[in-house]
Amino acid sequence: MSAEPALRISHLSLGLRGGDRRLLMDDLSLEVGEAETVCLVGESGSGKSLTALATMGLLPSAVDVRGGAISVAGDSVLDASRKRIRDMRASRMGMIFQEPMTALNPVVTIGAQIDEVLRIHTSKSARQRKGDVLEVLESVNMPDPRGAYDAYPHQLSGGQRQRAMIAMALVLKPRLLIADEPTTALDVTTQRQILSLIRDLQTRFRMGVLFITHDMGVVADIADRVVVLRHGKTVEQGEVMQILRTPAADYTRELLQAVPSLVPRAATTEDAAGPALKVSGLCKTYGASGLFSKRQKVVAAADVDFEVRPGRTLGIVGESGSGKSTVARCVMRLLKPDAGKVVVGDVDIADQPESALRDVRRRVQLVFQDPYRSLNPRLPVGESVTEGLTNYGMARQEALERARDLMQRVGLPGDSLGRYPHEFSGGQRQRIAIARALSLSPSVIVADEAVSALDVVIQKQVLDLLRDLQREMGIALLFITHDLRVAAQVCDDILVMKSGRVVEFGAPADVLQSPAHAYTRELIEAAPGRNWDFARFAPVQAAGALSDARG
Amino acid sequence: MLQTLLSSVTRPAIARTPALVLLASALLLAIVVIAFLAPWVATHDPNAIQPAVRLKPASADFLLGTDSFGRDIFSRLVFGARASLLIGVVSAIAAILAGLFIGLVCGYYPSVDMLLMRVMDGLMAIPGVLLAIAFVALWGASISSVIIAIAIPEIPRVVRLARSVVLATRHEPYVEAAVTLGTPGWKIVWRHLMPNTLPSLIVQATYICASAIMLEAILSFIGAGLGSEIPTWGNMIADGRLYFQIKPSIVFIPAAVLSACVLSMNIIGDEVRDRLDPRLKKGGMRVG
Repeated sequence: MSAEPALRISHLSLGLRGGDRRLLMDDLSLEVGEAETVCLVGESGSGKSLTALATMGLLPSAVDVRGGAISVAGDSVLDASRKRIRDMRASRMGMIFQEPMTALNPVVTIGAQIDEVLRIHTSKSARQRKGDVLEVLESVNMPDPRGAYDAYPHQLSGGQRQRAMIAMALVLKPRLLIADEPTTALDVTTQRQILSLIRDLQTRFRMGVLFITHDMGVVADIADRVVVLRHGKTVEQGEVMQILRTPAADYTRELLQAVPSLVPRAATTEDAAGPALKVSGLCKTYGASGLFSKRQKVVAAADVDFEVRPGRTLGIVGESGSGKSTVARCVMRLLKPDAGKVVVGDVDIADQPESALRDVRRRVQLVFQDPYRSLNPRLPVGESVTEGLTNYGMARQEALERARDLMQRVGLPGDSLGRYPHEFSGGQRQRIAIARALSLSPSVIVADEAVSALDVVIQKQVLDLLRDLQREMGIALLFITHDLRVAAQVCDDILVMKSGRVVEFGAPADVLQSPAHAYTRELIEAAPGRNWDFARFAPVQAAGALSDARG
Repeated sequence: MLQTLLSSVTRPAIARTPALVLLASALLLAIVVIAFLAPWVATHDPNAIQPAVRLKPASADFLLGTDSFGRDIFSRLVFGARASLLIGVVSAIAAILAGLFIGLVCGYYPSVDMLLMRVMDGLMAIPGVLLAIAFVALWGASISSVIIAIAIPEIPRVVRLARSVVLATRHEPYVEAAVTLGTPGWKIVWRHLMPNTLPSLIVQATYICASAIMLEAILSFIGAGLGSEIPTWGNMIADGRLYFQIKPSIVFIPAAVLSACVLSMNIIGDEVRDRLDPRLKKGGMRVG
């Protein structure tokens, strides 16, 4: 092994081809040594992914290198020929992406896809290659490597697909692994497994890892060193402990303080009023057998009970497939439950026909996960915000007046009603979605992963906004999330779901400190950065930490 | 974000209109202008029979010669453009409107979907020409009956297109948001679903228009279309085929104009499709 670091980027500057002098990346320098993990942290638009692409020689043609150099294990990337870069890509550097479903070819088996890498880059025989592929699948702890060899991507779970991606990136034992948000699309428990896998492989193969993430929790768990980026500029870089303990830049401090901690917020006082939403015995099963097919039945919700009082927040926490979104959709009556009651105010909406729902609809509103798809891209946002009001008979002028107030209430200029969704950032769009949900003065708001798609800093702002609005208007909030940390910060009660069943229910302090169910414990264990108290720039104190911090 | 970046790697940044598209547009524009100004552009009455000047070659008086009845081919061509374009455009609009309506209903209301789509499958199983002949036989040959006869076989394809777009978008969060805001079904269809179908339908319209002009020519050719008192490119070819060996241009000229017109429409349709399809959009790039 040479003394050259796995990756050295020096004074890299990137700009738009033919564009102005504005730089997309301004003078970035970093080094990833052998068996070292460097985390590249920043919000979207900071240039994290661009750095990865530049290193892989995959820069879009519209992006121009304005200066600097990148070398992987001593070989320069930026001035290498196309063929040279192709050779380097598999043998010296591998890359894994955020969404393994789209990064893998859906019509080719996993084995054949990994085999292709070997076929192109080595001259081994078919038998040797198959042995190598099985070996690498085994080394990424793929359950049943032989089965996976012949499986198509859709037959594997998200975590297994990511393992397959890692296997493909590592089959030629590269010196450098670039991981671009590899766990963002995964459940926390799977995320934890993948992170520890990357750690393992790194020490075993002694490779450098450039890990791109927006999650400081992940950083605390795996990084050796950290580079913080913002708008293409390096804000700060250093050893992970130094960044976490004594961040020098304001931006880093802001980033750290925005990380939701597992320490629950102070409980709000119990409200005496009757429940705004009461769900009892809710059941929903998918996949009834049809005329020609007999599909497997999936129980998405079995006997779910809960109630939410005005001004209080109930969090439903679970991983994908736990049925939490099904519950939300049943409450919204976007789905018709098979059995059970959903009582809003004093009306049971579970069994009502669509025509009778009109009156109740205005009392329950929904904020969606994806702010890019929850607003009609072809309509000015004013149209979206006033839609509900005009549906219930308000005159257009009056509705616009009210929409303007609502926009100001959620922190946007009132005159932005005429603009289209694409003119707003993700956080702003989520504010618009909240304004739309508020337009009908609902008594219940269901927030389905409403902040999961946002950067941490924006996430915190939107959560604060929701809390203010709730306090002011006495709204009952049903907060659905996969992130126990966010739930701890937002909720008065937490309900943990697994495979359609409620496994745990209680106040956040109880659920987080003395979880009764093994699954809840597993979730808490898996929460990234759980041992670090970001807001205090210190580790969480071992015993009794939660109760101390709460006081 | 990453996807947009990666997709722009393989695409050239310069967007320009190909010369072929410009040529096709110019040609089509000329045909449209001539059709509008037919009475002034034509040099003769297209139906004036002059046995004395049968099958004359091109001359200063008869720009493209005369046919077997002594009618001026140029003037018939000019008036033929009117009939052909009228039939093409009106049947395209009719097919799109009917198909859009049925497609939106099928896509949004599952209860009628099953039934209506089987009717559409039935319609698709019958060759368009055959169906058109049957309609014309039933109602007699007039411009309106020919238009209806041509439009109906095109409807199922439009229905499928509109329906598929509705099925793909009806579970988008912004549509579900509209449901939770109490928006009535028809308004959701009109405000949130219908606009998504327009790009593909506009493209489809250009194809229908071209194929309607072809179908009209076929109907005229086999004698099921408009009578020769209304000059169309189709019945000019039909009338001329008996004299093809004596004077080939009598068939070739209307056939050439017909082909050029249809080809232009298809080329323009392809271009519109490319421009409306964001996946084929050139040069666009966002940096994240």
